[in-house]
Amino acid sequence: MKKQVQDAPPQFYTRLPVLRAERGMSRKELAELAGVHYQTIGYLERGEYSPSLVLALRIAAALGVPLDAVFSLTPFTSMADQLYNPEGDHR
Amino acid sequence: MSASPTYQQRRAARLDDPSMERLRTPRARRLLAAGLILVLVAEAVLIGTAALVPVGVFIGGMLVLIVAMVFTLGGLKASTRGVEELSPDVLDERQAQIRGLVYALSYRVLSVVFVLTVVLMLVAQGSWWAAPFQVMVIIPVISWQLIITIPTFVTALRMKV
Repeated sequence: MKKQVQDAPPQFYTRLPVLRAERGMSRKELAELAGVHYQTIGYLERGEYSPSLVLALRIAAALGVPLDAVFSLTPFTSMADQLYNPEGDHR
Repeated sequence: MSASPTYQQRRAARLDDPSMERLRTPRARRLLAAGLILVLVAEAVLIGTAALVPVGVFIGGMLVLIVAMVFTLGGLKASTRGVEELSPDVLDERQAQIRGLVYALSYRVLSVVFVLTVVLMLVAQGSWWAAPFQVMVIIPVISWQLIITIPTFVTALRMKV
């Protein structure tokens, strides 16, 4: 049963760790801006907790990006591919 | 000027104290839960042997157990950050969700404890077992203490907080 849960695909994908690191923000700082406990940011970053729409919007606003830049139902292409291989030739 | 924190906000801050981080590991939680169970067992033994020991020993023993209970239960609540007891106003949405799960599971555990208590009381009152008076005190006292601590046990042992 546990194995099944571990193998299940993630419910959502997030770029939260990258965006937060880019801004040099600690989990605590982002948590304060989003109005949640700092642990919750960790759970979100690991994809272990699905946020409500309101929380997702608050996080996107705190990071200054649109919602779909932070959370997605499909995997994100890597930042490196987007920057250095925008034509989509992902090898 | 910001409003002074409410009792719930002060309690949330106290239970979220970063200096208590060492109590928040699964091993520390299991040890604290086992410690609290031991205190309850010791309490049952002390009540059961109340007639055999001097009053001073009984009162002294009870005081020691009360202090031990305050520390183990306090430690257990700090280990769960008090998610199970705090008002939803001071919890974030993930913590509030955990609180809901804790109460749903605690309700099931409580039902079992309640049935066991009733069965034990009926057995103790059965004509084929002349249970001593102390047993009739131990069962409800320990059950009550167990019942009020069930949400804390469930949070500490089953939830990621």
